[in-house]
Formats: sequence, structure tokens, C-alpha cells
Amino acid sequence: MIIDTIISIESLNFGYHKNRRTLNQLNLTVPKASIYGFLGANGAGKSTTIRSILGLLKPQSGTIKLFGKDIKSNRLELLGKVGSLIESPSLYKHLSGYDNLKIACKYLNIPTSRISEVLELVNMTENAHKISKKYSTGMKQRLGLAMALLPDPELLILDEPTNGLDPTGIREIRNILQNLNQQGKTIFLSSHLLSEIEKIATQVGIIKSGTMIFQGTIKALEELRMNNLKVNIITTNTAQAVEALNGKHKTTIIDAHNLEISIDDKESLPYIIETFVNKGIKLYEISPQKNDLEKLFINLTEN
Amino acid sequence: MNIGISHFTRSIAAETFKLKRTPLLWIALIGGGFVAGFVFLIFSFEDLGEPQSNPWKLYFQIGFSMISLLLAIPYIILVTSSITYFEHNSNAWKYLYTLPLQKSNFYFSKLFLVLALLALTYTVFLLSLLFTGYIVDFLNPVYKFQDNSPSVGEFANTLLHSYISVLGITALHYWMSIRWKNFITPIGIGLLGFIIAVFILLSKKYDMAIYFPYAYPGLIGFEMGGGESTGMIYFAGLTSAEWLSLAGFVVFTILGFWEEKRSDVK
Repeated sequence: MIIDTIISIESLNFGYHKNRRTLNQLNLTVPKASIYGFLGANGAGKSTTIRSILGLLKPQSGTIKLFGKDIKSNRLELLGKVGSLIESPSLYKHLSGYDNLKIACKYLNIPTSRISEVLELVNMTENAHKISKKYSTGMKQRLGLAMALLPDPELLILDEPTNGLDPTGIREIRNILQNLNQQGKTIFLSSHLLSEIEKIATQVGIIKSGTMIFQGTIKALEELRMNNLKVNIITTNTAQAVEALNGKHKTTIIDAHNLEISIDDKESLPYIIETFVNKGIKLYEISPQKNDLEKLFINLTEN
Repeated sequence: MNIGISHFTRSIAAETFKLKRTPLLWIALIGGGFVAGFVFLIFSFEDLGEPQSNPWKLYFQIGFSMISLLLAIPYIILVTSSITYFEHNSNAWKYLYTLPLQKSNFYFSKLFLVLALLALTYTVFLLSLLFTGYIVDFLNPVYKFQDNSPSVGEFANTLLHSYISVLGITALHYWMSIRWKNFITPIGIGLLGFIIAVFILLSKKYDMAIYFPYAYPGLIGFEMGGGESTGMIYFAGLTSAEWLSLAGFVVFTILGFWEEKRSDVK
């Protein structure tokens, strides 16, 4: 059986408190061999989703399937195919990086020869025998990634793997993940920074208040950006301009001469200009706001 | 079944490896040796009156009373808190529980390690006691240890009673140490329990001590360490304190694991 969907979540509900849901009817689909960027503001429910996928939290309702099988009834079999790094890596600080990996080898019954392979992959060979307490944040993250890679998993689940890293560290992790993806591994990674995700992901999911508000390819997100323009106009009479639009577009009066108009479809812009001209409203300046993905992300997650 | 055993032995191997660069193994070795060393000093430099026909008995009884009354409970508190502290401090539960192993492996392999370390301390105590006993003669020849034979089997059997009496508290403290990330709480409760137990035992309120599990090893220390009878009932070769300790071990282990199994890792 060929499995095209590696993670499939349907109508997932979870709450840490009885009356407040952290995940609300969440749906999510991760295609095979993709790099899925899971985006959301802090507190949107990313970590809760990841912990639910890995069986650390018990959802109130909904289904989670990995490799086409329900995690609840096939937990051990499925976890055997997954490597994960949840937020900061779990390192025994009194032991070296090598020894931390050795512990994981013992648990997983993996030959210790695999340690040098994963250390090489994350560029940690030189520092492997240093006490992990002395590692920098970047080194800890790379070692955490090495631990996740130890069983050579088909699916990597990484929760904010670049958190606290400097630009060089972020680039290193990005390169490692891209290489792994080229080897056929499916990567699911969360972040609250769109700028990070857009550089690496093939698929994007955006979560807000525990609900998926966008899911699709980076291209689809680009299209959404193009169709979510804001235009600033400078005119003699903003009130008259608002009236002329007749409620067809959302407007925000900045001051007496400055008006912001939200446009759902970029094709609407010529029509709006024509309407103003026909009504005799003088336009001194029309400037589309630079709406990059970051802004779109903020708009999507904050509004 | 075989897979289950294999997972469990792997977990024990991993747990044991985590002791590297920690003082726990040394504490286990030194703890037992320290008590034996203390008894050795008493016999070497103190006048204990007319020597008995076989000095080994008194030598063992003094050491046994000390290890049961003064060492067992603080040692258990320290070991259970330390072993779980590694996991809390490393925030490791979230990693361990995403490994393809049953949660029971982690819970029981750690508990096994705690019990093994306690057994190691008792074994080191017995071996050190035998070793130091023979040396006493060189410093204080009045006892003639070398002319007498120690009843090793009897000593080991008596130590086993002390070991059993501490199992209930071990399971309780192990549960508390896993439950609370802050290790101060179980240590505080344990030390308070230990102080109250010593107070009860020194006040000779043995009928009260049977209701206080922290006092069980001390009760056994008095009962079998050559002190006065504590009035405990014997059943199938074990004292009432041991039976209660075993019952506590079963109950607290089941409760602790049940809670751990159903809890979320936040």
C-alpha cells in the first residue's frame, strides 16, 4: 500500500482546562516527502498539536493518523518511524553529547556505530565528548536533532528547532533539514517565524487559536498574499471616498486626507480608481502597501 | 513477552549508564562501607566490656542497628530524588515517552535501579563488616575475631528483613519524586518522616511506630539488632512491619505507575 499522507489529523480537540480548548476542530495533512512548516503565533497551539501527534497528550476527540494508522492503537509501531525534537532538547547535562546519544542507542537497541554517523550529519563530531552542560544553544539543538535522527526515522517532527539560534545556527539547521528532505524524509517543523518557514517549507499550515486557518503549498500562500492587498490613498476628502466605495471594501481612515483600503482581489484596484474618478474625488497618491508573507501571516493570525 | 523483557533490560542498561559522572554509585558503595567503618572504629578503640563467645554477633548487631535506624531512610530519600531529578532537570520525560517503548519500562527500570542501589549498599555493608572484623584483631586483639566464624548466612538473612522493611517507603518516595518536579518537596517530607520516626523509636513507642512506615527499618533494627523486643507479630517468618512495607510497596507502585501512565506530558 502506497501512503501519500504521513500525518493526517481530523477534527482534533484538546484543552488543558475543561472549559477552554487549546485545539479546536484542528485538521492537518502532511504529504509524504514534504517539508511541512507549521506556523502560528506563540500560544496558538503548535506545541500542543505536536505533543498530541506524538502521544504525549491525550486528545478529547478527533483522530490522529501517522502513516495511515491511528496513533492511539499503534503507538509503539508508529513511534518507531518517528524522530522528534520538542522545543529544547532533552539532554542529560552531566554527560557528554556522545554519552547522551549512547543512552538513546541503549533504549532503541541501535549499534553505537550509528552515533558517529548522526554526529557527522549535524556537524558535531568535534564537540561530541564535551559535557553537554557546556554546549551553546546551537550545539544543543544540533545534538537534539542528532538524537532525533538516531533511529533513521521516516518522519522528523521538530518543534521550533531554530529557537534561540543565531543566523548562522539557523542556516546550519536549515541546510541539514533540506539535505534530509532530499534523502526522502518527511519533515514537520513548527515555528512562529514565517521568514524561517518560507525559506525551507514546501507545505504550510497556519494555526490560530487552535484552528487551522490556512493549509497549502507556499505557492498557494503567495497567491493569498497577492489577493490580500492594502492600498493607501491620499485624497481631499476621505469621508467622501469611503461613501463612494459603498461598503464594498474595508476601509480605515488614517486622517482627514489619508485612507487605507483593503482589497481581497487585486483586480478590484482599477475599479476602485475608476469609481473615485467618476465621483470627482481627487486622488493625489495611490500606494499599495508592501504586503510580504510576514505581514500576511500577522494579518491572518492577529485579525 | 520476550520483546517486553528485552525492552526492560535495555531500559535498565540506559538507566544504569545515566549514573556515569554522578556520585550515586559512590554513595551506594561508601554508605555501606561507612557504617562498617564506624563499627570497626568502635571495636578497635572503645572498651565494650567482656567479649562474647563469638564477637561477630555483636559486631554485626551494632552495624545492623545503625544501617536500619540511621542510614536506610535518608539513603532512600536521596536515591529516589536523585534518580528522578536527572529526568526532571533534563526535561527528559517528553523525549523518553516519544520512544517506541512502553511507559512501564521507564517507570519500573528506574525503580529497579533504586532497589538495586539499596541492595548494593547492604551488600557492601556486609562485605565491609566481614573485612573490617578480621582487621579489628590487629588493633584490639581482645575480641579474637579471627578465632571465630561469622554467620554470614544469618547476617544476610537479617539484612534482608531490613531491606524488605524499607520497600514501602521506597515506592512512596519514588512516586513522589516522579510526581513533583521540585525535589525539595519529597526530600522535605522524607526528612520530616525520618525525624518523627527516630523520635517515636527512641521514645520506645513501638505500638505507635507500626502505623508509621518511616519507622519500619528502625523497628527491624531494634527487633533484630539485639535490642529489646518491639512486640511485632511474626507471620511466615516476616514481621508485621515487613508485611505492611510489602503491602505499601505494591499499593504505591501500582498507584504511582497508574498515575504516570495516564498523565499528560505538558
